[in-house]
Amino acid sequence: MARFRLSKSFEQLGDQLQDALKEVRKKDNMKGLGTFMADLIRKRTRLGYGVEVTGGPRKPLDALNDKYKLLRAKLDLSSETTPGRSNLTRSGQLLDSIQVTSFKEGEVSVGPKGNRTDGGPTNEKLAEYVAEQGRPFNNLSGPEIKQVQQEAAKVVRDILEK
Amino acid sequence: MADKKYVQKEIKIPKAYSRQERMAIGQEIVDYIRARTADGRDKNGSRFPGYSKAYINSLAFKVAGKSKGEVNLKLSGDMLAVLDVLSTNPGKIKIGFDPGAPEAGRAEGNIRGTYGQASGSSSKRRDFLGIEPKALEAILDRYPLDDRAASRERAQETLDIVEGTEEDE
Repeated sequence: MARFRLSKSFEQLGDQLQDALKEVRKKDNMKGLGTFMADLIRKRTRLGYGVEVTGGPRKPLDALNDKYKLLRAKLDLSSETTPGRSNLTRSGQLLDSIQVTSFKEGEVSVGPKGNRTDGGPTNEKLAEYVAEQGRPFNNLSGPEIKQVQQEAAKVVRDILEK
Repeated sequence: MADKKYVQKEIKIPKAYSRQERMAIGQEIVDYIRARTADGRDKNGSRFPGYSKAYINSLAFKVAGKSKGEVNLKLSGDMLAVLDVLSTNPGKIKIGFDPGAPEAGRAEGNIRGTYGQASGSSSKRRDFLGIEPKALEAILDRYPLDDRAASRERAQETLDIVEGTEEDE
């Protein structure tokens, strides 16, 4: 599960900034950050990379074996993949389903969710399965955490400039 | 490993600034570079050269939701996210990348116009690592040397925003 939690210790900061940070920590703003996170993970995975642990580096997803590539060549694949491309995309449902799964003050989580049209396992179960098979993707890399932090800083500046 | 001389840049500023002020000014410089690059402009304020046909037709381009008219050096967003203030000393601020980071290699490719090849083309260069004199002046104006209290307050606020939005450990 990809989760981002804003720092709780800001009492030492100036009053105006404390107010802005309290505003950013509100559920609606955290949900907005979650949408940003979901887009990051979806795009990075479609580019062919996974992340094994939160804060870790992104790594190319394991290559597909030849047999599976031949099978994929016969399928009606999403336009965001090719038969030989390892990017956890076949119909596109798994990555399309990544969304905010929970949010509260100062914290938001994202991940795949919901049922699939093929009637198989849920997107959550499929995500767990592919991670167990050596293709974890639902974690934020170090640079992605920085992107989320920079997005939160933008929201703070917008509030301060109002 | 990227070459330090391409992926790190030293920016000169007045020597009178304290360490805290230098860190804050550096932070504003990297934030400015991110925003200017997102707007499609290089270190001199000129538009980046357009993307190649091969890149525009690639799956990566499509997956990243890019459009051919928007040259902003952003695919995953990681490269510009890790651009950072590396160090400061009286009179100077060093910004850029750790040469060993994977993003540094991408940065070097853009800066030199090499993109994974041995040699680069100046016509393909997208050098974003630097700041125009007027833009630097505008940032330094927020840290007035003749009003140290205001300068220190600005520095504190700039650094506090970064601290306040960090991830909770």
